[in-house]
Amino acid sequence: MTLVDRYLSAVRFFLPRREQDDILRELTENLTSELEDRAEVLGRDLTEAEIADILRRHGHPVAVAGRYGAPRQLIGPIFFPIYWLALKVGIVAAAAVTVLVAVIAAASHRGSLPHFFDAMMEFPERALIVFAWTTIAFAVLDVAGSRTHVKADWDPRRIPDWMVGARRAQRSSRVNSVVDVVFGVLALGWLLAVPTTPVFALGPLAQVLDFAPVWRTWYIPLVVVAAAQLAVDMHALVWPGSHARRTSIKLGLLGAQLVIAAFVLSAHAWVVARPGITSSGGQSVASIVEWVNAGFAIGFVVVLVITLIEMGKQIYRLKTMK
Amino acid sequence: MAYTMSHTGHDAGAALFENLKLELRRGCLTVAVLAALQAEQYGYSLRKRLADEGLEVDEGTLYPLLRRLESQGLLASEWREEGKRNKRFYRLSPSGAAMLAQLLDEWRGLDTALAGLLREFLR
Repeated sequence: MTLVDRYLSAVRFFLPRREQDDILRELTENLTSELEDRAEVLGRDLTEAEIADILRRHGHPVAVAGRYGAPRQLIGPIFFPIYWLALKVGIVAAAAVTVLVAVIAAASHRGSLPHFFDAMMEFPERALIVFAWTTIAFAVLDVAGSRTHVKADWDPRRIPDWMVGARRAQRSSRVNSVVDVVFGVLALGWLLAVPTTPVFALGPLAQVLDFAPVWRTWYIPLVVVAAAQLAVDMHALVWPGSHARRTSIKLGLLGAQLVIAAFVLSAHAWVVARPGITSSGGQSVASIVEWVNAGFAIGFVVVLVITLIEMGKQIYRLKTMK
Repeated sequence: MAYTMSHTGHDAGAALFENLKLELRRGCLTVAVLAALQAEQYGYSLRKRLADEGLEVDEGTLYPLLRRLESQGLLASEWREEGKRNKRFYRLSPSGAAMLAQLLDEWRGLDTALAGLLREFLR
């Protein structure tokens, strides 16, 4: 087998089967013409080194075969920016979920670091799944919409707000600030009142239930974070508009809220029976404690999820801040 | 270390130049091939013809381009014997000729615009 035959066989190996013969026939002809032409110029047969040099210039068999294939891309330019954004959001969400699960796992084992790291090790697999499904979904979308083109008469006035990070009108933003401050004042007032008036938190059950010791550790940090959040909201009310530093502080406070909620969650028990009371309204206090604690657990998970969503909003706000 | 960094910077610059040169030539090459194939040619003879005009094109680019233009209906081809060997001859199809006319209009527009923009550089 000559050097040229070996080269052409290697090219054939990588060519699409349907076109192999046709492409090879043409390629052979062109190569033969070139070799003959070169030999004619030199007035002698070509040496193996000279043939090798021509083949080398012609290109590696894989590259040559590749150029004959149809241009391949999983996701075309129309969908790629949306795919890239979806992928980033997906990976960040996977990271957030992993951290949340890891914190809960550690918290439910009394702050166990090995449990935290074990849960964190799930991230690569989770990220890979997000990557695979996002890519598959967009590849399918691309194939389905391969004839999709951005319409030439698209309307610039209809670019959605989320793409440009546009905020609501100033008046609406001011109304939001007032609502935030009012709720902040109510929340802080409620927090401050609860230790002396537990009925605000436990309702009629305050007669038979008491707060668990975990609150003694985390009550002050909780009040500090709530007060700081109120201060930030008041600042936004007095000085409206976008401030990167304020948004960053809000993000930090939400992070602190997340950590506190996770640690409080790790306690397992948030209410206990008052000493000496064993039943109330015909029900054993133990079962009431169990039910109320289950309600607290669900409530804390909801708080964690809402906090994560709110953190995502603040991150988006920072990203789109001019 | 300084040498390595400057060497790497030089390599990156050369690679970028090669990339931009490829982009610049890609569109021009299609126009050149369509124009050259107003007269019938087979792959290697077309490559020589382009080289004679000063447009060196490597085989790995030209031959697949011919097939692509044919699949787009801009070229027609037929296998014919020449010099005791069968060769695939390409020529411009009627829709290729119409496309070439459109591309030439575009080319003239670009040429005029670039001539204005590059006046200072070319002086």
